[in-house]
Amino acid sequence: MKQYVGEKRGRLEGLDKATGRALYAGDYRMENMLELVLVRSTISHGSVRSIDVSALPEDVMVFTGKDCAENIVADIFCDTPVFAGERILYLGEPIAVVAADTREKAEAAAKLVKVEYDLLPVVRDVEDAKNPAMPVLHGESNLLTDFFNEKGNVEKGFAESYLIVEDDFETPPQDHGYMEPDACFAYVEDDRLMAYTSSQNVFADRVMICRALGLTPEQVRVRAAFVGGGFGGKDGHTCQIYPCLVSWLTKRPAKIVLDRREVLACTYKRHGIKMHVKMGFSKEGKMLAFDGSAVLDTGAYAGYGASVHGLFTEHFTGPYDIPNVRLKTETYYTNKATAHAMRGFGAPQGAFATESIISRAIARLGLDPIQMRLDNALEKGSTGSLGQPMDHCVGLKDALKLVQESDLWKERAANTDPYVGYGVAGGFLSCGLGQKITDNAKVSVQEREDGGFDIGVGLVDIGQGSGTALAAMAADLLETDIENIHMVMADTDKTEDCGPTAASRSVFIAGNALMAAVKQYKKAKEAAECGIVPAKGEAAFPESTMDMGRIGFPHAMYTFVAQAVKLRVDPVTGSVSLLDIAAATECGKVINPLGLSGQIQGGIGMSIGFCLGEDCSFKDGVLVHKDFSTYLMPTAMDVPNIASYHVDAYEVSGPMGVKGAAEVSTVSIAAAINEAVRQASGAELNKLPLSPEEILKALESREE
Amino acid sequence: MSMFYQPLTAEEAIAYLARENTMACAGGTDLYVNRKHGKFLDKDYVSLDKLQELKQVTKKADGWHVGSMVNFACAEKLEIPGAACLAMAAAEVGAPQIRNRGTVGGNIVSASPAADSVPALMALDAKVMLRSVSGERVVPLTDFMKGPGKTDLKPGELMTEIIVPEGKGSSVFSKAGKRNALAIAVCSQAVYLETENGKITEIRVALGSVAPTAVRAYRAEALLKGTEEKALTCAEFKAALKAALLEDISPIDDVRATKEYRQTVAFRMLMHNLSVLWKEETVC
Repeated sequence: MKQYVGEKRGRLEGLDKATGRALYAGDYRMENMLELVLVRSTISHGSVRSIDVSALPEDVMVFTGKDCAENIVADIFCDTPVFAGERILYLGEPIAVVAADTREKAEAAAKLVKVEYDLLPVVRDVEDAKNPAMPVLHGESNLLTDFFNEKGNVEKGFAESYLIVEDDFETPPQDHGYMEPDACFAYVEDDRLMAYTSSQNVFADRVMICRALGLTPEQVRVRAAFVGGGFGGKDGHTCQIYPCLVSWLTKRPAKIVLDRREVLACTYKRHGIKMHVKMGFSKEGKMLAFDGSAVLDTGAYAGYGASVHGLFTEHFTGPYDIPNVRLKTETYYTNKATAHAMRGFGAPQGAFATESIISRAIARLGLDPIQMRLDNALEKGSTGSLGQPMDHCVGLKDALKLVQESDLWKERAANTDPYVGYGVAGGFLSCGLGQKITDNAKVSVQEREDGGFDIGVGLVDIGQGSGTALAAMAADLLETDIENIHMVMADTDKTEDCGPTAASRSVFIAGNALMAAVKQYKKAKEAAECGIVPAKGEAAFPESTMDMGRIGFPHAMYTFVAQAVKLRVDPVTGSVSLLDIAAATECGKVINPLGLSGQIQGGIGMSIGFCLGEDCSFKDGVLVHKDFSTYLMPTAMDVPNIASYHVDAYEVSGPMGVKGAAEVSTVSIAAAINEAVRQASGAELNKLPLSPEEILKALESREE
Repeated sequence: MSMFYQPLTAEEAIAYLARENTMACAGGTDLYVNRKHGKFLDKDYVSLDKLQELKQVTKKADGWHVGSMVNFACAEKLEIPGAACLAMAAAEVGAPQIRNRGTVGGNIVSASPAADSVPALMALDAKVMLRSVSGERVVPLTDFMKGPGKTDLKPGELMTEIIVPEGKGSSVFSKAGKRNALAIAVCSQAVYLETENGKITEIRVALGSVAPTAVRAYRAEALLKGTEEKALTCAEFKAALKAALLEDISPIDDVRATKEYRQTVAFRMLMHNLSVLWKEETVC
């Protein structure tokens, strides 16, 4: 029998996507359909005094919070209204939705809605948020959450250190930049509301829709359309409720597709973070003490801010065994678009700061960048920065060795170009939702009349390839050809709630549930002797044995990376050209090496943007770079060859040895680039995106 | 409702452009974005897309006549003697899709201070041919550019050709953008150089994104004319040259870069471009 697991495989849905057969939410249309455009606030903070729709044509409809059964987005905190009114907390917050026969008509009508506001002072940044004279956005203070922990004796660690390096660092918010803008299509059929969403969790969509519309789960069916990327940005309410509301009230099909400028200005972002890192080292480069503090800007609403805060803190030190660690972190509300989940979930920001400090220490101590990291790397049996045990598969050392043996790293010694630099960084990211969060999945296996199998999984394949990986696993487990496996995913009528496509958990959790379901199927089949037996299997994500009393961290396991870059700094302009990248990943057993390479290359591309071009900063609550002409994501011309290596490893708690791998790819490359830039130019940069102007200044001062 | 005319000859296009409230549409790469931002929505468009006669490049006594509808995909392959900077600038425009649509004439008439082809054409001393129902005129490109989005194009006029004189020297184009494709120039520069017996006999320097229009650096040129290569290593001369160049340009801070950065890059680019061209001149 052919084995699919471990074999390179293109996407099952690849041809449909390449040929345009695949339908995304915005591609659906029906007779008599309404197209929707949101009326968004033109202020950052205040309230709506009045809405005047008298100038609108008669054949256009307007809906506001008054049309909802409950004007609430039912997520973790339930702090966000579907439509803002009494309180507006960011520029571009939805106030009303306009429905018309065509998008053009709806756009024109939305401009005719006259809104009058009462203004409040704008909480522009975390400094404003801390200022007692400024307004409080939620509850009793602008602090969403904070954390303090000390492991060992940090002051003693510094006292024993030969070298101490410290600095301030800052990273701006980042947009997910998914190819498909947020969209949703809804219609009513047999008195039930049917929705196709572009989201990372159809079951959460159903909860939000039911609460806002006052419906029962039986009245609503949510299916994920093909999703053109999410990266965390579609794991929440983006626009799903609006077409559902309009369709349910009018009984006409309704569709919304956000404009790219709306996506950039108003949807979820990666957290902007200000950090201070101080590290102490022995003469031989042993990391003796870490003292890190940080302030995260979570924007207008909680979103996943508290969870990102937790993972940022948990990963701040990097994947190293440091005996003395102090962590002090705070997250504040401000009047900006909400910061939320984004691939890497807080880890890339901390890695930028910490790995930059480590690289500078290595340079001052005259050590080898990979050997020094090997000397400090976590391994099985170590304790993490919070004191959590590393009792799963820990392959950072193997990943570092793969980079050490790469062509890129080997040719480093022979380089003579003074404008070429080489940088390396380690990284890690937890898998699973974390301590005290329900993290389950239920998968079904149903034999079909044609001899194939329907595999029911409630998770959404948002483009990362979980469907293809799970199909390969199912084919091996059921000992059949992959053509006989039919994945049925993300349909609230036909699959069971498996939680969100998030936390690099999909293949792990659904894979374990799949294994249980296949076992069940085989048992039932043996006993029943009849042809068709439906079977279900469940799984729960392992939890860390360490409980700090916090929700969401620490985690039971982590995935590890080591990433190196070769680049050249242009002596005329100070701009950076990436020449080559070597990336090694330890994520347990690899189900689909081609899929993993795609994830690693995609994540690195995303963090090249984070490092060199993408700046989602806000000035006085207003997004500075409003479209793709100034918000600079990397193009094919900016991403070099990326060699992707993986460690041959096995995680016993994972299905067939798997750990998650989708997000860890984003963690390390920015710090590696920063170090290579330092070597090539002398510039010690602490702020992203790296500024060619600062690099050029460093070059000019080196010339003098 | 806008009208959209699609004439087959320049003659016909000019007749349409004589009507009120019309504007020519070349590749449409700029117009598409402008319309999205609510500009030019009430205009009637005269498409130049089918005008084969404006897509030709021909050599005549006064130089090479480049049709205004020559797109950048074609321009990046042009081998006009002494005019390498034009092909290099064309290759830096946007991305392949934009180079397939965008035209040299459209780039000039849109009059962005950051247009890639304009500094190249200015360094080549190009002229533009303008036709209307009442006749035709030829204007030096340096006089044609008036400000951001502003040119000397009169109502009813159609730019039909760009005349590039053939030179015996060599030229080069550099661009500082914030990424390697689809980047608007933060500073761009074209230099045309002729030398004789180790001395500069002709030099033209033009820059983009450092003034309201692309500009010639006349003061810097005057200093460079007649000098030898080794003068470029003299600190005093370099300081004087930098001062002259900074007087030639008037960059501002904007969302893409600061004034100081543009100034620094403009001078470093000039030194770089001169050394590149000098090498070429000695090889020839």
